[in-house]
Amino acid sequence: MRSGSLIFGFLLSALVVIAAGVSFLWVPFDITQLSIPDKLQPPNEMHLLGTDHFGRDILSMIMIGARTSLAVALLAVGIGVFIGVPLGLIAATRKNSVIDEVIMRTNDLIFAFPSLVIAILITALFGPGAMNAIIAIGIFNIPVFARVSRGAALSLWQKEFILAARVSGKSDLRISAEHIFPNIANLLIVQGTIQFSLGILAEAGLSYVGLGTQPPIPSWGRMLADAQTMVSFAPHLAIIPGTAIIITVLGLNLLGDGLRDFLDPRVRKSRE
Amino acid sequence: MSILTVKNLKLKIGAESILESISFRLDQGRILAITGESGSGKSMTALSIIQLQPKNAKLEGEIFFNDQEITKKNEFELCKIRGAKIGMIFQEPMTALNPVKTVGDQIRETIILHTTKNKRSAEKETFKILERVGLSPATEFKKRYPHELSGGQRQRVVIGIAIALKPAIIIADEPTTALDVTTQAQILALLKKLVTEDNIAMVLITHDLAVVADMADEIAVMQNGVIVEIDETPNLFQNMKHPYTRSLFAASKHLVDLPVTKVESDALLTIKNVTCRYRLARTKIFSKSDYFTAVSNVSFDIKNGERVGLVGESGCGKSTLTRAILGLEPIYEGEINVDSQNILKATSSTRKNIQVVFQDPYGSFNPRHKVSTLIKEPFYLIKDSPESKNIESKIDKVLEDVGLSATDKKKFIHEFSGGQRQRIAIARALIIKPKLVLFDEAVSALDVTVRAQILDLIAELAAEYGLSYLFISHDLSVIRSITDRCLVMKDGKIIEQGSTKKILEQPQNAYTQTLINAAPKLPNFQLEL
Repeated sequence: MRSGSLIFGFLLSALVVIAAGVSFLWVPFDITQLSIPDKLQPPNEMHLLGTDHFGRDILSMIMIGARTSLAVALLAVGIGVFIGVPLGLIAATRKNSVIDEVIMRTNDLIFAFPSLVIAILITALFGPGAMNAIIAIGIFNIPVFARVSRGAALSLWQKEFILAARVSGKSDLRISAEHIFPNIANLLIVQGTIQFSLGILAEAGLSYVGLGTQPPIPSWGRMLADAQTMVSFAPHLAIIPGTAIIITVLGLNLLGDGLRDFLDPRVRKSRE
Repeated sequence: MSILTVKNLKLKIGAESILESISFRLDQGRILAITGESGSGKSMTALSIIQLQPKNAKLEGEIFFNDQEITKKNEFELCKIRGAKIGMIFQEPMTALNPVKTVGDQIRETIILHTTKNKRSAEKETFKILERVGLSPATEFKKRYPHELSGGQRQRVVIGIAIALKPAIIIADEPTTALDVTTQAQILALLKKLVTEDNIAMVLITHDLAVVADMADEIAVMQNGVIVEIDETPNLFQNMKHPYTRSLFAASKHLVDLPVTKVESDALLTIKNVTCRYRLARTKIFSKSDYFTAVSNVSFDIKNGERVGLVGESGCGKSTLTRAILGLEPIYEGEINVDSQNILKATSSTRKNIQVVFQDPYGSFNPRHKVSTLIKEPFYLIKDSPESKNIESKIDKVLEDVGLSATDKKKFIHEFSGGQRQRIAIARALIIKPKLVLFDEAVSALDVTVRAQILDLIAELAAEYGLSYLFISHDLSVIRSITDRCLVMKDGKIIEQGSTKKILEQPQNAYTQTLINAAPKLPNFQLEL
C-alpha cells in the first residue's frame, strides 16, 4: 500500500519530467508559428489536445510549459535548501543565542509577508520574468527549510552520539555536516517534494497574474489565464493545463509521501 | 477457587511463537511475580490476561477470570472487565496520565464511567482514594496536573486510578522501573499495603529479582516465552531447579573480580569548587532570569589508576557534572583540570585522555554510519599525530578486546543487540587509549546477565589498558561491584565520600543511609552451581 503511493507518484512525476525532456528535442508542432485557421480546435487526430486561439498545438505548449514549471520550481527549491538549511543548522547549534533569534525572527518576518506582495515588489523593481519568479518563490522557501532543519537538528543535538562526537573534539560545524545533516536528509527530501509542488503552483499563479514567465515562452499558469475568457466555448483550453498542474502536484506529493516511508529505516525494516 | 487461572496459553505473531504453554493460578490477596529478561514474554503475558495483545497476534488456550472464560468474550464485554475488575499499572506514569486534566478529574472520571455513582459521591470517593495512595492533603493534590507532580506521586495517581473501582486483580507492569530507589521502596510498600487491605490479587511484572524477592508470594521465571520455573518465593530461592533461574540469580548477585591496581599519587582529574547553573525560562518577557544550580561547589580528585563511583538519584546533578568534566558544559565557578590542564582550554592531546560511555545503547551511535566509522571518531582528536597511523588494525584490535570480531566493523549499528552496542561504545572510548573513562549509567539499560558480562569486561579492560574510571550510577549494587571509592551526590552537592565498602556498610550521612536501606535486596541464599 505504502510502496504503491511511491510507485504511482514516481510514474506521474516521471511522465512530467519525460514530457519536459522530450520537448528539448522534439515537439509535435512549432509553437512560434501561429495558424489562425486552425484556432480553438477541440482534441482531434491531428492535434491530440486541440489548439488555442492562435491555432498553436496545446500538447506542444504543455510539453514546453512543463519545462518552465519544473525549472522554476526546482531552482526555487534549490534556493530554499541552499540558504535555508545552513541557516537552520546554524540556529540549532546556537540555540537561544542572538544569532538564533535573528535568524528565526527574520524567518517569521518573511513568513508573515503575503508572498504575492513580495513577488509584485520584485517584478516591479526588476521587471517580470521567469528568473524573478524563481527568486520570489525561492525566498519563501528559505524559512520553510530553515524551520524544518532547525527543529529536527535541535532534537538530534540531544542525542548521545552527538555528545560522543563533541567528546572527540569535533566542532559544531563539523558535527552539523557529518552527523546532523545526514540524519535530517530524508526529512528535507520530503519537504523538498512538497515545496517543489507548491513552487509549480506558485509559478502558475504568478504567470496567471502576468508576473511570471513572459510570452512567447509558454507556461501552464499563463495558458490558464489566457483560457479565462474562452472557457465557455473552448473548455479544453482551461481543463488541459489545469489537469497538467494537478497531475504534477499529485505525483510529487505521492512521491514525497512514499519517499518518506521508503527512507525511514524503521519503516523499511518492518516491511522487510 | 482461584480468581485467575491461565491454562496452556499460547501466543503467535506470524510464524513466530511468543508464548508457549503458559499456565498459572492466582488467588485473592496474593502477589504473583513474573520475572525474566527483556524479550522473555512477561509483558505479553500480562497484556494477554486483559486481552490487549497486539491485533495481529494469535492466541490459544484459556484464561478464566472467576469462572468466566475471557478469551471468547467480545470487545464490549471485555471493556466492562478491564478497569472495573482488572486494573493495570504501567511503567511510565507520565504517559499513562492525560497531561491536560487534573489528577482528581482523572480518578473521578474512571469512577463515573464504570459505576452508577453521581458526581458528588464520585468526588468523595476520589478524595478517599487520593488519601489512600498517600497524596494528602487530597484537597490540594486533586487540583494538580500530572506535570506538577514528581515521578513517584504520578505513579501514586496511576495506582489510585487502578484501585478506584476496587478491582479483583491488578496487573503491574514494571511499576517502579522508572523511579528512583527511595521512591521505589515507597511505591512497593504502598502496593503491598493495598493488596492486603483490599484482598486484591496482583500480577507483578519486573526484571528485578530483588524487587520480586521482597514483594511476591509466588514467582514465575520466564525465558523465551516459557515459564521455566514457578514456585512459592521462599521455595524458589532455596532450591532453584532450573539452570536459567540460577544464572539469573547469580547475575543479579554478581560481584566483579576487581584486579588489584596501583594507584599513583598524582591526580589525573581535579575538580575544584565547581558550580554549574542553568538559566531558567523567564516568567515575564523583561523580568530577570532565575538560575537553577545543578552542581554546587563540588570538589574531588581522581588519581591515576583509581576506580571511582558516583551515586545519586535522578536530578541530583550527576549528568551535568559528567558533561562538565567532558568540557561540554560551561562552568560558572571553579575549575576542572585534566592532567593539570583546564578542560575548557585543554589542547586535543590532553582531551584525548578522557572518554565517555553513555547509558543508551540505541542513542549512542549515528545510525547511518558503519561500526568502523563510529569507533574511529575519537581519532579526530589526534589526527595529525603518529598514533593515528594503522587505524584499521587498531579497530580490529579494540573490537576483539571488547569481545566482538574484527569483521563486525563492516556492519551497521542496528544489526547489534543492546549488550553488543555497549561493547562497541566501550571500544569507541578505548580506541585512543585514554587515561580516564566516564561511564554514565553505562549498564542501566541492560539485562542482568548482560550487565554482569559488561561489568566484568570493564574491570578487565581497565586493568589491561591502565585506566582510571568514574562510574556514574543510581544503582548501588553496580557501584559496589565495580568501584574502590565512591561519592554520594544529592542536590548538586557531594554529601559523602570514601571507600565503597565503608560507605555501603557504614554510611554516615542520613541520606546515604536511606538510599542504602531503600535498595531492594536479594535474599542471602547460598547458590550451588
